[in-house]
This record gives sequence, structure tokens and C-alpha cells, in this order.
Amino acid sequence: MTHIHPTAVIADGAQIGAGCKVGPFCVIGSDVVLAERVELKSHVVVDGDTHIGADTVIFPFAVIGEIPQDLKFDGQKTRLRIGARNRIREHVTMNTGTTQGGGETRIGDDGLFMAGCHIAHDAQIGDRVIVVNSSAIAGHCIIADDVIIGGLSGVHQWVRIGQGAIIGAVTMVTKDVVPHGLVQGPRGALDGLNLVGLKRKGVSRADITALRAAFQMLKDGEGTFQDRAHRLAEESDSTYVQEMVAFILGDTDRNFLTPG
Amino acid sequence: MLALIAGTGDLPLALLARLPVRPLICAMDGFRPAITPDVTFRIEHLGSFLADLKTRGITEVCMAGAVKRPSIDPAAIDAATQPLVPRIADAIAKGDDGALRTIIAIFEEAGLAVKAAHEIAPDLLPDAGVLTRAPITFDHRQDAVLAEQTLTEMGRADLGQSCIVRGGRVLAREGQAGTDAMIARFGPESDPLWAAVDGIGTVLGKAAEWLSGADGEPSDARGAILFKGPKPDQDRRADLPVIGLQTAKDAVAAGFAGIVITYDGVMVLDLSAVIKTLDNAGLFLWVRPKGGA
Repeated sequence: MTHIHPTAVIADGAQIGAGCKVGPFCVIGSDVVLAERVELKSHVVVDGDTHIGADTVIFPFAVIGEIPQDLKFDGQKTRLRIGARNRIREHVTMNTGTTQGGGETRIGDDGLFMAGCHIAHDAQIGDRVIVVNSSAIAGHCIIADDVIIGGLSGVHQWVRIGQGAIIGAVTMVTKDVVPHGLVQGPRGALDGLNLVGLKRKGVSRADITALRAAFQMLKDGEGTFQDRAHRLAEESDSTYVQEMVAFILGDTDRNFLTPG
Repeated sequence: MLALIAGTGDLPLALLARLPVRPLICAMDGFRPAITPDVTFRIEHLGSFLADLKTRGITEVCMAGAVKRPSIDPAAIDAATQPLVPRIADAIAKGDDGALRTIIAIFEEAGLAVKAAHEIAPDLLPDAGVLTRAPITFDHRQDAVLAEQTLTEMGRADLGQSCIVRGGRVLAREGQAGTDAMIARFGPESDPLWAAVDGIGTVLGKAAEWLSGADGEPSDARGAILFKGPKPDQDRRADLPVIGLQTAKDAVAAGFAGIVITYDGVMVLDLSAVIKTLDNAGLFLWVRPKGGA
């Protein structure tokens, strides 16, 4: 059964799914779609062309779907799509996209966005991503599945972070991070692999060994970083290594963090 | 003034060649270093030996070369050594690193600084990289990762400094008998009888490996890597691993793909001869930075 607190302000046209709970002083815009069982605790603002997936819970003072913080934005109708079962904590802000950036900011399923973090326009966030308190993901970033971004960290615009990577706290990431990478330090050094994450995920020892060998080959093999990636593609048949290679050889607007 | 406590092998000679002044050469009774010792001592007389060193004006010692654990004759323990007996017994009961840490502590408490061999001869620690012509493949890199993990696990138990790995499988771990004995298990070319049955043995061995799974006793190590490195947190002042020309020859005889040593953790005696031997046989020598991921 849907519960809407009498102090909530819901614009005409907003679609509220079955079983939703909209708490006190929430404000919901006319183009908003809440899927089943979405819960807005209280004082939550959801605006713009924003769809929120089932069972997502949004905590007080979060502002979801406001216009992008981009001087080029001129009122175009852009979107924010949020998947299912996300937990969006207090004071989180998530903006809609920009026309230049494709028009859509996208959040996957099962994410945890801790208090005070920001997801900027056109960011593409995968499934099961965790963004810890007060971290900021800048515009156009691509954050793949299972990434963890530590507290008080920043991700520069257009940066890609590969699947399963982990970013330490108080870290500024200005370059692409390979899948399963471990980045830490104030200026974001690639220090190794997220071995704990790989083990927790149940990745086989053989695949972890292959990834570690790949990482070391990327670090000290012959030729350029790209040369080493091409050689890896030829020599390793590990799926995980091939994913890493595909990431490195894929299109990007930024350089890579390379093993130090 | 320095005292060189020499064990067997070529390391003491290599150090002697690099020292501007001949040190006092000491050796434990029962071991025959390549250099004629000035002083020999028994472990039962360690206390007296330490006092003798002080009397001779020795201020620092360097332990170099291989030494096996001595047996102790309780009846031979002298008065000066009596207070040390519990610690010596404790040391002998420990693994190599634990034993050496105790021995180092005894020397230091006697007022003698313990100097590492690589401090005397830093050139014995080669630069990182592949020093030979033969290339390393991704499979070798994977085997090196596994070998490093294996040595880490062995090191936690204070066991051995080398292992042999091929194709994601650990074929051998160094035991009390040392690296040479471990490699010797895989040296069929040195045995004429082996050579005669080599072909059949290879086939049977591979079948046995396949049947026995990962824990079966391997029949040969052709194409494997020999990985050698120090134990994690090892006291580097004694027993830093060493390879030399004989290691290279043994690796060739065993049909290894190459030798991987930990950068800044393994000394190489006669590096140019080692490289030449490996190059001639198409093996690699990879001085690999530790870890990396």
C-alpha cells in the first residue's frame, strides 16, 4: 500500500508506484517516476525527468534529478535513471544529464551512495557501486560494476573506472583506472589490484594469479603501456585479463593510471 | 676489524675478493669453507669464541656461506658458553631465520656488529629485469606470481627460500636439504640410466601427473621456473639467498625454462658466467621486483 505523508508536495503527472512511501516534506516533480516500493524518508527532493527503480530508499535531504551543474546547460530536457534497490543516503545529490553528454545520467542497481556524495551530469554508474561519504563523481565519468570509492575522494570528469576497482579515501582520481585496480594516495596512484575484492567475489586463484601477472607485465614489460596490453591480449586466455585488456584498448578521453 | 664467519660455497671467497684488508677468517668446526680459516670454533664453545674475537679487536662480523645445523655435545660445552645454552638450544629448534636471528642477537649482545654480505659486496645484488636473451612469457609471469605466493607461505613457517613451478603447479619446495638438493630431483641428464628411460619416463610421468592431480609427485620439471627469494621479513644480515654458476648449470640440466630471483633479495655469484651459461642453453634469468599487485 502506498503511503504519502500529507506534508509531501507531489506535482501533477508524477507517477508513484505501488507500495511507495513518501515521507514528510518530500517534493516530487511532475516528470518523476517512482517504481514499486520506493521509499523517500523525509525532506527528499526528486525533480526533473527522473526514474527511480524498485525498492530504492532515499534518505532525508537528498536532492535527486536537479539540473546539471554545467554552465553550458540551457534548460534542455535531460534525464536521470536510477536502478533498483539503491540506498541513497542523506544529502546526496544526483543531477540529470546534458545534451552534449548524451542527455542521461544513469545509476545501476544495488548501489550505496553514502551521505553527502555527488553524482554529476552524464555519469554512468554500474551495479553494486559504493560511493562513500562526501565523494564526488564529476560529469561524464563511467564507473563500472562493483567499484568502491572511498570517502572524501574525487573523480575527475570523463574518467573511467573499471569493474571491481577500489579507490582509497581522500584520493583524487584524474586518469582511468584499470578493472580491479587499487588506487590510493592524494593524487591517485595505481598501487596494485583489489585482491580483497577479488577474493570476496570468489574469483579463482588461477584467475587472480593471471591478473597479478598481467598487472606486473603492464608495469614492467617491454614497450609502451598499449604495447604491453596488446601482448597480454595475445598471451593470456584469462577472461579477467582479457577484460582488463579490452578496457585499456577501449576508447577513452583520458590517460591511464599506470602501475607505479 | 672484521671477522668473516665462513660457511661452505663460493660466497666467502667472493666477499674476500672485495675486501681491501683480509679479515679474520673463522669457521665452525666440521665445515670446510673454500678459504683456510684462521680460527675454528665449536658451537659448544661459542661463549669462548665471542670472548676471543673481542680480545683480537674484532668489532664486526659477517656470516657468509652455507652452514648446516650443528649437533651439540652437552659434555663439550665450556663454562663461557653455559649461560648461552638455553638460547642456542632454542635457536637450533627454530627455523633457519629464527635460528639466525637468535645467533645474531647473541653476537650483538657481545658487542659485535653483524654486517650483511651484500653490504660488503652490493654488486652481488643484480639490477631488476630480464638479464638474458631468452624472453619470458605470460605463463612464466603467472608461475612467478604463484611461486612468490608459495615462498610467502613457506616463509611464514620459516621453511626454504626456493621452489619450482610450472603451469600453475608447484612441483617442489625447498626443504632442509637446500636448493641444490631440490633441483637434483629433476636432473635426469646427469644420470645415464635416467637418460636411457627418459622418453618413456616423460610419457609415464605426465600420465602420472595427470592422474595424481595437483598434489602428485612430479616426474620432471622441464619448462618450469626455479624461483628463489628471501623469506618475508627475513633478517637480511644472514642467509640472504645466493645463486651461482652451479645453480645455473643445475637449472640447465633439469631443463628449466629459467630462473627467477627476487630483486634486491638474492645475491648472484659470477653473474656474467651465470648469464652466459643460461644464454647458451636458452634459459632466462629474471630479476623480478617483489610483488607488483
